[in-house]
Amino acid sequence: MSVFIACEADSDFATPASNSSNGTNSSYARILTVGDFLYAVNLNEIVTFDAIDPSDPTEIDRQVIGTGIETIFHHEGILLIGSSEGTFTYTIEASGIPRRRGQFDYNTLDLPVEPCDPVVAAGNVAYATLYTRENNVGICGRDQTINLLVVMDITDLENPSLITTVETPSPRGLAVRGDLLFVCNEFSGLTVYDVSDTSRPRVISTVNDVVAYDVIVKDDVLIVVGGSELVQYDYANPEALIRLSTIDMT
Amino acid sequence: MLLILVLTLAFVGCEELPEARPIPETAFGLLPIYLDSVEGTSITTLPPRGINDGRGFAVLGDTLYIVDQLRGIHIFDNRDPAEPVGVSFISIPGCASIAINGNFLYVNNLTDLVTLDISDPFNAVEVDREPNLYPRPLEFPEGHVGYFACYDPSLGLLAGWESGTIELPQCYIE
Repeated sequence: MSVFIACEADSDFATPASNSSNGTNSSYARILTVGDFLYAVNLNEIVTFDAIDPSDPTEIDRQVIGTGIETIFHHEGILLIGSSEGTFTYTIEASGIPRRRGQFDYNTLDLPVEPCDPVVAAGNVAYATLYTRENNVGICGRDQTINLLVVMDITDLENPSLITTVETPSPRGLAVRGDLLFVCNEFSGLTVYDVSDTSRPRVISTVNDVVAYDVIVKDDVLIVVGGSELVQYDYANPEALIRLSTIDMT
Repeated sequence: MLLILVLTLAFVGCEELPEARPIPETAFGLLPIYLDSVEGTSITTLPPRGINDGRGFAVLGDTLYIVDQLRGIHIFDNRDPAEPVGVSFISIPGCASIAINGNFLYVNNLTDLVTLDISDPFNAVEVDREPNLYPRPLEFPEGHVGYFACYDPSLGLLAGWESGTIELPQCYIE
């Protein structure tokens, strides 16, 4: 699917060349390294740093995005920014400076309250989890609860569109790899979805005995963090994850 | 006795003073997180320790970097995912997000974005600081609705807010 993006006739899509070694972030990231550039979001802005000297990042750009900005995700030269208003799409210019392309507005979902969300993508499909906290505690939401996985088509970055929404318990961080989508459900564990048909994500398996706040999926291992736990799984058989290790040192 | 904070008016924009709210013995709400150190910009590398409130994290190669919300970063050697080994804990007041590039770790320290040289994971060295990228935590939990424990500056610097049970909560936001 990444080939699709890479072949877009738009030079903005090229990830800047670099010999840097960027780490992989989990979905709740608010700071991101892409090549020799460093991106940081605060409550309403995205700030770009030139980090060609990684020991001395220099601010080169600052743009207002919106309100309630929460997460930043990079995928094939595209930046997806999760906020309580919606998902914002940016492309990275050759200069490293992000250019605003569009927005998927959560108002279109007719939600009763403003949610919190992280967002990730694979190919031309983005996935966001929207939730409000229980007991009215936290920075998001008021009286009503939202527990949604939102699937968006980002083929047209100017006009991301809704593919479908799926109810999922207290969704938090998420990660996608191939046809597999992993959604953290915090105290309810973790859900593995088959997203080969993105209009109909199908639950393949769930894991209940873990506190799952955020997740990174690598080639051969699924890494889950939440509460006091660090738990890793072999997901070669996504119908039955195998727990490899548990660190819980409360 | 009117113990409801007038902050409600100033920040949330209510139009009239809320009615006095009875103070329960306990309530679920938000409590201030106070920094252990009085020096909010002091970043120190310590021996590995338990994770208190694991949130976002990052991976580079076989190393994991786990954010312990508002407290710091746990570094794990993950060459064998069946047996990750704690390497160190970098205490970073107010830490909430990280990114990695090679031997450099970018992280927020309260309001600042700092660059740490982690080529020696037992001794992270601050090499750059971009001040005031993030807003200072407000002395009340913005956006929160319900009870919270009032912030008491005499107890230290405020790192943020966490949910929990409050005894005799004296602050409330409508």
